Parts: sequence; structure tokens; C-alpha cells
Amino acid sequence: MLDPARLSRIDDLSLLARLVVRGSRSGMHRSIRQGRGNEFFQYRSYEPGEDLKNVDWRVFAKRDELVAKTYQEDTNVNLLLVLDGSASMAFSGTDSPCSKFRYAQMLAACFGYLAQRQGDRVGLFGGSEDSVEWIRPQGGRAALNRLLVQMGSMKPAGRDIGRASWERFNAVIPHESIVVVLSDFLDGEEEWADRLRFAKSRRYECLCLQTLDREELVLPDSDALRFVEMEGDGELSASPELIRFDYSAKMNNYQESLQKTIIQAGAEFEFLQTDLDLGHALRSFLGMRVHS
Amino acid sequence: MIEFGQPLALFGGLALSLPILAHMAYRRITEKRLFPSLRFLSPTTIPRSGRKRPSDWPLLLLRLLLFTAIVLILADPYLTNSQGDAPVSASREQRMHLIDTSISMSGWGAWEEVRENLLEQWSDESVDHGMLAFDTGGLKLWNPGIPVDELRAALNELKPIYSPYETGALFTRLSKLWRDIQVPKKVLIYSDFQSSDWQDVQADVGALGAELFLVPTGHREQLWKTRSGNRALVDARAVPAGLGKVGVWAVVRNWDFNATPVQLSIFAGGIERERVEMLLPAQGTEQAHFTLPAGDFASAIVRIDGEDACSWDNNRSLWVMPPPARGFAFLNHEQLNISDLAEKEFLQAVMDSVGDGVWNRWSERSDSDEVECLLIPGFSDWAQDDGVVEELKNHLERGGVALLTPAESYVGMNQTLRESKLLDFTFNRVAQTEFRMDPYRIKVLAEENPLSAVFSGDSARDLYLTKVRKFLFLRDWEDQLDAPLFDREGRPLALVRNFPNGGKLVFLCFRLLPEWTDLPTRNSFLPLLVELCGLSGDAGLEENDDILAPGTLIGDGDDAILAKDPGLYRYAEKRISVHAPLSESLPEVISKEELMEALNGSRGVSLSPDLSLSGLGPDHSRDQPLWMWFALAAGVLLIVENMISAPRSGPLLSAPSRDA
Repeated sequence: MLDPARLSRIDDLSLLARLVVRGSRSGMHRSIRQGRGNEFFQYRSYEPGEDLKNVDWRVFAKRDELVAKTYQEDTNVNLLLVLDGSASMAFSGTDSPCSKFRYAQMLAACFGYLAQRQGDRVGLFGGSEDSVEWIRPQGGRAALNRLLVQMGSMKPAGRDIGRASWERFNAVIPHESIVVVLSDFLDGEEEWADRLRFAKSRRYECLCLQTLDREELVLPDSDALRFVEMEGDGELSASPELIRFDYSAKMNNYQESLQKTIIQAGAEFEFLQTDLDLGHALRSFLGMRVHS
Repeated sequence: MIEFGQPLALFGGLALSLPILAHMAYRRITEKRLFPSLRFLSPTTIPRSGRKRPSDWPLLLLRLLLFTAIVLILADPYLTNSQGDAPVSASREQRMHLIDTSISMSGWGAWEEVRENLLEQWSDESVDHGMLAFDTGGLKLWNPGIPVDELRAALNELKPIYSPYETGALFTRLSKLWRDIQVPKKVLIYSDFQSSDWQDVQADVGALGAELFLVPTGHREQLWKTRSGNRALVDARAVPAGLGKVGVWAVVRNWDFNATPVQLSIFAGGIERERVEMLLPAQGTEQAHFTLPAGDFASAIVRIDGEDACSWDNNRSLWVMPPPARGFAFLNHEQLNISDLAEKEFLQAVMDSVGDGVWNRWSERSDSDEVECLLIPGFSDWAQDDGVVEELKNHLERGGVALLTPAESYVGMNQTLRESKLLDFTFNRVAQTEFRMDPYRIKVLAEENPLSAVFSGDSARDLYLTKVRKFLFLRDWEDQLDAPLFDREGRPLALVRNFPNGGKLVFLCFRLLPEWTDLPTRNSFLPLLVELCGLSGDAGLEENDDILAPGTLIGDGDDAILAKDPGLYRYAEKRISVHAPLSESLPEVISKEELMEALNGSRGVSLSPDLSLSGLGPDHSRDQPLWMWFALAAGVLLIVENMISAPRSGPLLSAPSRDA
């Protein structure tokens, strides 16, 4: 059900998110906080001793039965989805089910849907250097739908979001926010240490999900290739067979270094691969959400 | 069927493993791949060996096809015409030797080469030899299987002849000989293949199932190319050169590619009379002039001194004495009246005055065969009775000229002419001027009238002042008659009928008598009759002589002479010059390919003079070469191979995205 190859065929991110969440989250989710809030949740039988303000008198007048209205409680928790829309995220290996960006996009939609169901506000920050998207966290289903539509229209292109944009993002992150960063994190660990400065604060929780394609880890299966950099003008010829071992070692070292850097920055780090199902990432996210 | 000119080249196909090895050894970067980051990649050199098996099968197949096409080009493939492969029995092979005996074969050493080649061929006793050639008696066939000794004897008698003959007749005879014979057959043509002899020949040797072999002779080292080294006297003529002198001019042609000095001499009475030196321009002509005393010699020979490649055309004989007088005769009624006699005298005076009296003169003859001009004054129905009409018709059919004047019995004259179908017109009446003040006058000649070129200025005025007092008023003359003279009212004064073989009948509508006209007393009289009858002749001597080609039979019956060689002949009183055609002196040679095509020599072989039959492979000139098709295929394959194997410079390839 959570196979990215199947899911990537669904255009509607809202529908995709509902399918994923309902298929994987039964029994895992804690109950919604019911109480005082702005958004009506459901009716239930009035319990003696309960505040009479909750009684719906119109229903009582019609049915001669005391029922109490319950409201979904505002949690004051914001979920900020950070989606890397640089050109390198468009990469898709020969046998990969989808591109890295699509994988991240699907995950972000699921996270947003989960958060909205729990009454969290959901916001978006992402894109590329030339096209930065920023949607302030908002509650409610309609706001989520607008966010998903906006996110669905994003296309990976250009370089990573610039330093200035990250600075502004750091400045406007609402308190009590969960920040989920979906990126390939190939820009260098030092860059990310700077970008994730906010994570050191107790007001924020941050989850970094590095999304990579399998071919990025083991190189394509080919005799010789002319590699062309997706976010630059660099080109080089190499025989993947000859450099595979060396490449894997360098990649592992980088990932270890990156993980260390991110954890030191106060964030959590998870590694995702586009050919794996989305459940692993969802579980990581829910674990964080339960803690908060 | 496809055959190969160089079959050994097919062994090059063994090298087909080369492109396979090259394909496996050669590693190309044919693909560019977008990649997120190059920071962990190290550039490496692409190894050129180590591929254990070919991975790009279409490219390997393409290269194999390319290599195969190149091997086939080297093997010189051609498509043979299966027509020449008719099934034959296992009988003895028949080998026919067709020999060109035109006189050009006497030059450039061709005939000696023919003899050598034939004797060598006849030494092969495993086949039946035959021979086909023209000699002075016509086409002669020596059937295949004839003893070789007889062939040798025939060859000794055979030599180039001056008489022109139809080369195609050789193949017509050959076709009759071999039409129903199913044995292995070969045709060998021994010739210099001079263009003039072979350019019009058409035959189908392939249809006879015979192999055709061309044996070029007399080509020396310039095989199948235009030869050189020949100089020829292409013309020589004698002309009056003043009192007591005869001028002779000769034209010499140089077929050499270099300017050549030559000496020309003229022989008369067996003694060299004059010699001139000249420089003949390359591939050009030059003229020489000689002067001889008139009347001392009947003929002379102009000669090019020295030797050249073809010597038969270095001499030319010509007549240098005045030609015999041309003959004329009167045909008249046995009983001449006064008018007839007077008119005859006028006409006699005309004929005595025509020409220059020496080179171009006329004399009255009694033998009708020698008469060129017949004069019939007072023509009427008596001509029918005396057999004059038949004689006149014969004369006209021989190309002679006749002049008729009417007799006073006009109706009988008109009826005789119409019944004999000599002239068809309607006689209306006789126009007379006895009762008129003014005589009839000749109408001004139209510009297109041939007489207008003769009568102009004072002579024209003299003609137009001619008085015609009486003439036959004709009308409704047939269309084939010309009317060169009219009176001023547009009525014809003379009718001319031209016959197909040159005969000319001139009918005057008036008599040449003073009571009819004053024309006989005018200056216009002589030129008018000369022009009407066409009696003027060129002053050149040969204009009055017959010029014939060699091999022509001169005369009839037992007195006939066969003029087989060039030279001067005299038959009765006629002088005859026989000259070989100039075309036999030409050094141009027909191309081998053109001749093979004309003879449909689908399996033809061209032999050098010093090579034997067994020493040569087939000549593909008649076959359809296929190498260009393979070259085209190789070119296309090479382009496709380049397109496929070249690094792509188009849009970068990325792995296919499965995104929605």
C-alpha cells in the first residue's frame, strides 16, 4: 500500500495523504484532544456534572435529549514542512520508482495530513534559490488543501535555497514548531549546521529526512558514463565499475558526518531511500509527534 | 548472376573478425548522465579493452555490414548477362576469325599483326577454326573446321582492299552460320577498329551464345586510343592557270599531334616536276600549289615524300589535261524548212560559244549516249512519228538537258507533249503584234528568280528591251513546271521541267526567229539560253570527270572495268578518277565499350596484340558493374555508424522518471 512506485502515480496529494495515513496509522494514533477550541468535532451524550455550556439546546428542543458538543482543541503546535526543490532532487535512478523530489513531496503531504488531523497548523517552506515558497502555518482542512495544491505545483529546478532565505526562515519560525526537512542534504554538512541553528532552541523540534536514490549510493550500472552535474556545469567521465567502491566509501563518510552535524545541531536525522515504502518515514515522524 | 572480378579479395572477408574485436575492445562514452553531485566522483580514464562480449549488437551488426560492403567493393562485383550463357553441347568449339580488310588495316602495321595473331590462334588444334573476311570479290567465308593449311593459304592471298564494304555484313553472315548450331563458340575480330568502319555497326553476338573477343591491331602502344603519325593527301585538283599552264593544288592533312615538316612533289610523265616544302600544323591541313605546262601531260601524281604510319594515302593521281568536249546534238524533222534551218543556226552559234573553248567546250555528237544537251527546234507531232519523243525521254531520264521550240502546227505540238507526258499545259492561242504598235516585253525578273542573279544592270536592260512579237499564249500549266520568264502581262514565255535524276526540259514559247523575237540578235541571247539550260560548267577539270569509289564497275557488259584500286581510268572517252574514301585515313578508334555494346558482346574480351586468349580473364566492359551500389551502401552504413557511435551532443539523458 505504501509502495512509492504506486503512490507516485496519484496526482492529488490530499488524496494520497489520506490513503497513506488511513492505511498505516490505524491504532497508532492517539485520540484527538477534545475540548475547547474553535472547530466543532462531534456530538456526545451529556454527562451529568458537565458544564452546561456544552449542551446543544437546539437538539434538546427537537429531540428532548441532552447532547453535548465537543470541539477540536487547538494544540498551538505548528508543523513546518521544509521541502528541498533544487535541481538535484529531480534525480531518479534507472530503476527507481520516482524522483527524490516526488518521494519527499509525498511524505510531506502525509505529514501535513497527519498533523492537520491532530489539530496542528501546517506550514511550508521550500523551493529553490530562484523560487522560494513560504506558507505560514495555518490550521484547518481548507488551509491544508491549499498548501498541498501549492506544494504539488512545485518543480525541482535550480540551486538550493540561498543563505538569505534561510536566515529569514529562521527568523519567522513560530514558537512550538515541528520542522521536518526533506532534502538530499548534498550541499555539505557545514551549510546545514548553519541552516538548522533554530533546532538548538527548546521551542522547536526538527526532523531531517535525507532522501536519496539508490543509484546515488551505488552508482549506475554502466561501463562508462559522462556525468553531468545537475546543479552546476561540472562534467566528468568515469567508469562506475572502477570508482564504485571509492564512491560508496566517500558517500558513507559524508552521511556519517552529516548525521553527526545534524544531531549536534539539535535535530533528528533519518535516512530515506526512494525505493523504500513510506511507512518508515511516517513512523519516524509519528514518534516525534508523540513526544511533543 | 553476380560474379567477381577480383574473387581473391573475398578472402578479405576473413577479416570480419576485426570489427568484432574492435567493437569489443573499443569502449565509447555514448551516454551522458545527469547526476545530483559530482563531489564524491573521481574521473577515470575509460579502458579500451576488457569487454568480454559485445554489448551493442546493432552497432556490431552495422560494422559487420560495413566491412562486408568494403570487401565486396574490393572484389569488383558485376552482374553478368545470362543471355550469353546459352546451353551448349560438349561438341568441339568453333572459333570464327572475323578480319577487317579495309584499307586502313594496311597502316600502323595492323596487317602484320593480324597475320601474327591468326597464325598463333590457328596453332590451337583443339578447336575448329573458321574465317570471314571481305576481299575484292566480296564477302568470303571459310567454314569452321576447314584445314588450317587452307586457312593459311587463304590468309596469304588476303590483303587490305580499297573497296568500301559494310562491316555489319560480317555479322549477318555469322548469324546465318551459327543460328542453329549449339556448340561452344567464340568470335575473334581482328581490326584496327577505326571509327569510320565500326561506328554504325549493330549486331547481337550475345544472342548467338558466342563469346566475343576484340583483337586490336595497328594500335601500337596507344591501345584503344586515337592513333597518330599519319599524313594524307586528302584532295588534289587541276585548274587552268593562264595561257599554256595548268595549276595543281593539293590539300595535305596532318593527323599527328605535333607540327610536322613534309615535302610534296608532283610527278608528270614519270619525272618529278616540282617539289615544295611545308610545315603541317598539328592536327591541321595545309595547301600546296604546283604549275605544269598545259597539254604536255594527261595526268600527274602528287606525292608526300617519306614514310608515315599509313602510306597508302600519300599519293593522289589526277588528270591535268583539258577534258573532252561536252556533247550536244540536234533532233529535228527529216525535212527541215527554212524556219527550222534558221533556228538551228542560231542554236548552233550558241553551243559554239558556250564555255571557254578549252577547258569547258561543247561539240556536236552523233552518239546519243555522249550527248548532254539535246536541241529540238520546231517540235511538233513529227517527233512522235520519228521516235524523237522516246529518245528525248531517255535523254532526260539519263540526266540530260533538252531545249524545245514550237513548230507552227501548234495543236500537234501541244498534243504530242501532253500525250508523252513531257509537258502538260493548255494552249490557248498565239499572241501576235502585227497589228499593234508595241511588241511584247519581258517582265522584270523577280528577286527570287535565279535569272535575276545573271541579269542585272545593263544586261538586264538589254533583256527587258527584247522584243517578242509572237509567242504561244499558254495557260493552266501543271504545277511541277517552272516559268522563269513572263511577258509584262504575266503570261509565260518559257517553261522548265526538272526531272528527278537531273534532267531538264526547257520549252520556249516562241521560236528563235526574227519574226518571233529579236532575242537571237541581242547580247542577252547566249546567257539566257545558258542559264535556262544550265550549260555553264566549272572550269575545274574534274567537274567534267567521273569520280568513283574503289570497287566500282565502270561500263556495261564485256567492256566493263572494275576500278578496284585508286587511280585514273579511261572508259570510252570518259575520264574516271578513283579515290579511296578519306575516312580510311582517319586515325580515330572506336571505344572498346561502345563497340562491345553495339555488338552485344556480353562476355567480351579485349586482347592486346601480343596476348593469347588463355592469358586473359573476362572483360567486364559489357557487364553491369555493381561496385558503385556497394560503395553507396558502405557510405550509408558509415554515416549511420557515425551517427550511432558518435557521442551525443543533444539533450542530456536522464534516467526515465516515473513521476506522474
